Amino acid sequence: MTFQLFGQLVRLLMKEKMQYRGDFLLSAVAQIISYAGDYIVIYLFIKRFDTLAGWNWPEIALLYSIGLFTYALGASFSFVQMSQLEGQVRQGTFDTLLIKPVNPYLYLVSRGFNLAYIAHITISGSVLVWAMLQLNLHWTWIQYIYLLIAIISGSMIHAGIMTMIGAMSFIWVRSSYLFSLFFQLKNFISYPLPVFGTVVQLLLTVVVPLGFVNFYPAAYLLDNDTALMPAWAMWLVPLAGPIVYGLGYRFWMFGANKYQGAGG
Amino acid sequence: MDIIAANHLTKSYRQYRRFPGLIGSVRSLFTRQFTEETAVNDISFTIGEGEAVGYLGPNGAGKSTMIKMMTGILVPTAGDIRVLGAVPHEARKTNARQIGVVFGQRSQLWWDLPVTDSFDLHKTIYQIPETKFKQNLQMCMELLSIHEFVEKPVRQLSLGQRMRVEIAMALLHEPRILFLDEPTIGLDVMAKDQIRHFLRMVNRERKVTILLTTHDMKDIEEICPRMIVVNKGTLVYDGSVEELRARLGNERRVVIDFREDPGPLDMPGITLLQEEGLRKTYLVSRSESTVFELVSRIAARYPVEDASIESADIESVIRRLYRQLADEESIGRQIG
Ligand SMILES: Nc1ncnc2c1ncn2[C@@H]1O[C@H](COP(=O)(O)OP(=O)(O)OP(=O)(O)O)[C@@H](O)[C@H]1O
Ligand SMILES: [Mg+2]
Repeated sequence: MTFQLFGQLVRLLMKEKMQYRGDFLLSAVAQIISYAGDYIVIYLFIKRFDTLAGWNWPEIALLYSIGLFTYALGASFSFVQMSQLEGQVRQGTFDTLLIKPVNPYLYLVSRGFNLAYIAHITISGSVLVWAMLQLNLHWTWIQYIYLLIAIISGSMIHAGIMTMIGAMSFIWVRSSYLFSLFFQLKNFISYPLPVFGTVVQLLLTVVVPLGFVNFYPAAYLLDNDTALMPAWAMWLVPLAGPIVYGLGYRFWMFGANKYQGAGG
Repeated sequence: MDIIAANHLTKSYRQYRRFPGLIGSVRSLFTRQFTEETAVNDISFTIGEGEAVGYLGPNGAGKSTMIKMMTGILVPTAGDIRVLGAVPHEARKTNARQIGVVFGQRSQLWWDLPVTDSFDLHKTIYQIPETKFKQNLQMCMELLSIHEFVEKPVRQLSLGQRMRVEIAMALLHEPRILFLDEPTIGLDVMAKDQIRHFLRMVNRERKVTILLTTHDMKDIEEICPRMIVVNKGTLVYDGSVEELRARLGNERRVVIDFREDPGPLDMPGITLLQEEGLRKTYLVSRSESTVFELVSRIAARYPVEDASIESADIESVIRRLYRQLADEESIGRQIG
């Protein structure tokens, strides 16, 4: 897998998408509207209480935006690829991936690189910038770098978890339930975790570490209380992504060797 | 030198029992009940560089499974397989550069894009130097007449056109071995002919080793001097078509045109194969001289207009082999 190959794949994917550019634009607009709706729901909800676990509206907007932005980045390299893997395994079309002189994982994620997440990125990126301006932050460059690293790491957490779920297709051949479970859990990180109590926070810290996607980094950047975790836990944020993604990749490659194909 | 060597190779598929629903999914993960099916059973053979081998067998015999192990898609259950000196699933990336694979039933092309885009991408994936790429592409496009539709999106191609493209693409990186799983399935006579001639040329002139599976015996006749026959996972024959024909005895087809319908013939040793009005085809299991004798005896007793004796084609030899295998099996069952 080289950059040249990735570049060419993206070019072909764009060419492919542009044949249906009406569809593409329409679904992008639909996505933006639907996420704008989500922001409004959260806004109306917060407005009634003023703050939620000590977080005000712009802070929660920042929290939610980091969650959505990192999801979009991670998902563009993993969601469609991993959720369709089940079908590819069942129908045996995964075969063709294993006969190319490239890493099958890297090829699969690049081949399926999903440009449609530009919609999520646009809306969450804009709200993120808006929230940062609203909050009147006095950050040094360290905090900006930390935010950048947190975004990269958070994207890797999303992608890593989805990769693990996708790998279940090789072993268990039914990953759709796990995906819906994942999306249920992901709903929690729209709000500060202490809102949901200790069990949920522990679950999202230790078992499915989605808390490291946005809650811990945002709490650190905004100087908010993290409840269960000590302050040094902030430094786990840059590590969590590479660890989760690395494990996901390993597990996926292990699964690929269990691939049995389909009759034919 | 042996370019492919299978040594007591076995592949069993495990089918895990699945329970419905979310709870069921969790349950199937933990109970892990499975049934096992042996698709390739203790098979050994070697193939030398430059050979063209037809891999035959009835449906479900384990042909595709074998190809998938040789190409590194599947990991064998037992025994070992070496392709170009390496274990295919361990050396996927390096082997992939030196083999070409065509699946008759799975496309490797980009459905919505013109054929040229798939070719260009192939060039990048396999890092083919520009001049070599152009040269090979030119050759394949010419011999497979791809020029006419190279700018069309793949989804608009006919099956025959698409298959020609798949084959061309598999050869662009100059593989040393070409694996084809049912390359002529569903094609018309002309398309089949063109593909056969092309593959024959690729094997004879470009010295590419070919291994193909098929259900069309003409593919074997035209391309492959050697055939391997498998049945229910085990190897039942490995050798040339002629040897097999000799081993199964000389079987002749006799076509007789009658002047009027003779009804069933009262003659021992013949079976009616086909009937088109007054033209009837019989299968006669005797040596050549007695077949001739038999025909004259028929002509003496019945109103025969014309008769011709055909030597057994490979198709009927294979049919005979399959039938014999099925018989042996039912005898085995009765005894066991
Ligand atoms: N992924 C799979 N899981 C379970 N069983 C399988 C799988 N693939 C193949 N089989 C079984 O293994 C046996 C051999 O299958 P295979 O596809 O290799 O046969 P084949 O010789 O290619 O047949 P055909 O001529 O119909 O293509 C069959 O009994 C089939 O049901
Ligand atoms: Mg098959």
